[in-house]
Amino acid sequence: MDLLFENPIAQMYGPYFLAVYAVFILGVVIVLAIAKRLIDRTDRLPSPAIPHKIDPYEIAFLRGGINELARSVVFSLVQNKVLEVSNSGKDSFISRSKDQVAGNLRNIEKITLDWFGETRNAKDIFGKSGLVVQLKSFADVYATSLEQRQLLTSDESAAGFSMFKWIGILSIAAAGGYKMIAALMNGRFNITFLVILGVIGVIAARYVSKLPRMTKLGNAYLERLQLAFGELKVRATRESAAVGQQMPSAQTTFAGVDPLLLSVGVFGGSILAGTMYDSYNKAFERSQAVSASSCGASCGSCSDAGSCSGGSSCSSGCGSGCGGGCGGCGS
Amino acid sequence: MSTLLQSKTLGVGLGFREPFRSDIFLNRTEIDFLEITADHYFDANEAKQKELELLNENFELIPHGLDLSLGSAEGIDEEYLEKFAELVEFVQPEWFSDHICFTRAGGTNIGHLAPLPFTREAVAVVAANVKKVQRVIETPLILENITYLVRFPSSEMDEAEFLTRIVSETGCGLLLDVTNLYINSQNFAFDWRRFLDGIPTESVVQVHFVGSHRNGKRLIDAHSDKTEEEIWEVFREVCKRTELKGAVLERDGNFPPFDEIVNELRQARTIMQTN
Repeated sequence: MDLLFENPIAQMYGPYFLAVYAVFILGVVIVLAIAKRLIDRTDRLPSPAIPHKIDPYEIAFLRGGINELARSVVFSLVQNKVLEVSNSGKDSFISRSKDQVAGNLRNIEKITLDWFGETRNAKDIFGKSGLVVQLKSFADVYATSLEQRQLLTSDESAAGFSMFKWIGILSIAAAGGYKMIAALMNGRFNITFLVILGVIGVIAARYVSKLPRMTKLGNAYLERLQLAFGELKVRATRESAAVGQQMPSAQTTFAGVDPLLLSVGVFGGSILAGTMYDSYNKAFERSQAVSASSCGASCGSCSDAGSCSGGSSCSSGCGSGCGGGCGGCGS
Repeated sequence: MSTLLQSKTLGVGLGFREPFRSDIFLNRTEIDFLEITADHYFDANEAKQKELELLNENFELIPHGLDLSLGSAEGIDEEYLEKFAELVEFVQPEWFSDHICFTRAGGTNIGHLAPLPFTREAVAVVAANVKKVQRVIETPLILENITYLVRFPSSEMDEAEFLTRIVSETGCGLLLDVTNLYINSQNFAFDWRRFLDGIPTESVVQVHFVGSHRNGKRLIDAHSDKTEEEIWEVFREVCKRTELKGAVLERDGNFPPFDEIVNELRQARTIMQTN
């Protein structure tokens, strides 16, 4: 016990310890940041070729997880005149068209259409019993495929890195906690700066160790897609002209892909602003705040193993990692 | 030519132009390769460099130059050649191409593919310049015939013999622009079949095709029209006489809906496969 609290660290003059502690925290944060960079080596891989058969839904999922997948499927049904959007006050409602002819729908579209058996508020799509829950199995298939192609951070990578992260966070908390206990045992209670520094250190460690949802290869691939289809976005939105015009039916190219749906998949629904699909865009602008608040910052990163690629559950909150000890200055 | 004979057959391609960028990716199965204008990627800014990387990752590319000026008596611009070499090194194409013409004289770029007199001296100039290119770039170079609005009185031979001598002196293959051939044959009233009789058709590696454009009494190569039946006829005849490795639709303006482009590529493919 004597050695535990009677050693140079425990008895170090408070401000000196704070300086040492700050350097230690900085070191841990740098190591975590480097480890995060090193764990994703996909920038060494060649960018994948753009497939001959392009799936707009897969691209939407890659770009923004299950929320974007849901948005793009709903857009497809709106474009095919199976669903229609109406904006009323602050809310937007989506319902089946009265004269709907479902035609040739993919399974993911059928399930989406079924979910709209009754008129739904657009923001409910992202809720706990929302459309996103119905689409989970499709999202899982996309996630598996994209992980195999190393475009999304895999659960294995996230789990592997999670150990590093917690070692870093706990070491910051433990060092501060040890000094705090030593200070308290020596009857010194001026530990405010130590507590503040410890909390900042833990938050910083957590922040730098958030693995991005997409790998470097995934980002490069999405960038390539956006470059390849940039012209398409301009043309498709121009051809969709102004609000109020007759909506054309979805088109298909030789590749069997509707250009506007592909544009929405690659760039997001905001490209529809000012087109005849403006009401769709507005509906999701309004529900954006809801989906964002229930899913971190638009699912841009995965903070815990096992929640990376699903997209809907990517923000796990601070939780237990914040409560580490904070030592006293012990002067 | 021996290296060219080992080159693989690329099929039917399209001259890449920026407005086509999305469509080529939506219709990849219809496009076997792309021909890029080499000059657009010299000193490329970041956007053009990324475009080049994107195209190179997804398509077989053939660089096509505009300004080697192989007919210039003053020789090849070394800086231009160096840039061309860097591009070829990056793309690793089966071959690359430029025109039998001059675009520079007295250190001034004239901004136009100017025809050469069909003389022995011009053959010697082209041969010397091609040899210089070949010393810097090992990838096979193929040479394209151009259109001309005048024929020099000083010419000592016809165009077919001129091309034949150049092929013989340089060992290069030919990029036979069937549209240019057709246009010249109409403007100067000669039989394009006799022209084909006069050139070493076994040296034809690639063809260009696009519609001709009437401008008053003359046809010009505006690259802005649909390929007409007369040019398909030249194309068909060339396919009968050669083992083509590639054919490129070279459309530069008045862009139609991409379906029309695809239909032309399909027609070219059918002709290549059946002749």
